[in-house]
Amino acid sequence: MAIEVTPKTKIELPFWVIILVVISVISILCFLVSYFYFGYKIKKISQEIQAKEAEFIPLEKAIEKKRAELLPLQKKIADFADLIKNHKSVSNIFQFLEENCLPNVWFNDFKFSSGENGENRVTVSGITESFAVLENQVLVLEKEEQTRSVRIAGANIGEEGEINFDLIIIFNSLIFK
Amino acid sequence: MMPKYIPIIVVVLLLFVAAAGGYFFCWPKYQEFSLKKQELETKDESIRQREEYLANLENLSKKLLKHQEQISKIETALPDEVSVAAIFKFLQKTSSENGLLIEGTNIGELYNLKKTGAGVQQMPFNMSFVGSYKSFKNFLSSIYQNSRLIEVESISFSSPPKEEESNLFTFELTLQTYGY
Repeated sequence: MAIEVTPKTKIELPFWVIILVVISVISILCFLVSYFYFGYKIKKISQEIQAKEAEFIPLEKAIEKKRAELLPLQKKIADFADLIKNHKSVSNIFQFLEENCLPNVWFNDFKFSSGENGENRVTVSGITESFAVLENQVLVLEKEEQTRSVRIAGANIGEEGEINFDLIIIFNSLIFK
Repeated sequence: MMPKYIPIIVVVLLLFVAAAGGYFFCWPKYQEFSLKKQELETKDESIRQREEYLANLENLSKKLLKHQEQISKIETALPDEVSVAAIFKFLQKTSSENGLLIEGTNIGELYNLKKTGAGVQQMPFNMSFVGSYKSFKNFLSSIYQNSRLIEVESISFSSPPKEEESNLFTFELTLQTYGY
């Protein structure tokens, strides 16, 4: 009895299908490799981050220690610089008055006050022989760069004909330099 | 008829699996990786900055050590613990050296002054001196040059009456020193 074998039909795959299959398989393989590679890398980076965080703690402690040591001193130096900048040599006022007092003017009362707004106010009382000399005295004081303003606060004629006066002089900070 | 489409279905399935795998697994992993990498870079940068800051602080500390003399002057000018007795002794010594006599003072009130927070504490007090005008000027120069910071806030004096024929004045001063 003869056996008849039916020939198997061969499926002819088109070339583009083969290409697409190869591309798909390669892609799947690449994605698989990438997935595990990224997973490994993420784990490694996470460990590094943890190590860095552990490094941070002693570093922050050292910074805090140094800051606690230096900041109060820095503040003190800055405060001292401010104070020394405004440190006033008040004796300069006397020198100024001595240099700018006219020969026939006598001061007999002196008041100085350093206001909170930085106004350096001097009130002097004195005696002179005439109003003309007094006006001259004011002009002499006014032309000096250390004075901000010079004002006659009061003037009257005394028993012997002399002029008693009160002057208010406002100095600027140049007087203390 | 059926076998003809099988390869196409397989190809489509493979492509779908590749695309879905890429989109749902690989892409999120890549994003997570990028974020972690960025986080690590940020941490590295902040550690570098903090180390630099610490190095600067240490340098500053070393520089300050070289200026110990100036620092001790500042400590003298702005002491943490103010000694009223020391201020009074200094003023007594300076005034007598310049030919002035202390007539009165309320410096003792500084003991009652309460410390108001951190920083510079102003400590005003009054004093009156008797002496000549020249002595007074010298005294002012001395306290200006002294390392203990004493500020003259106000001065008041008058010429002695003519009938007294004296060159002695009474100087009223408001002074201010500082504590820290």
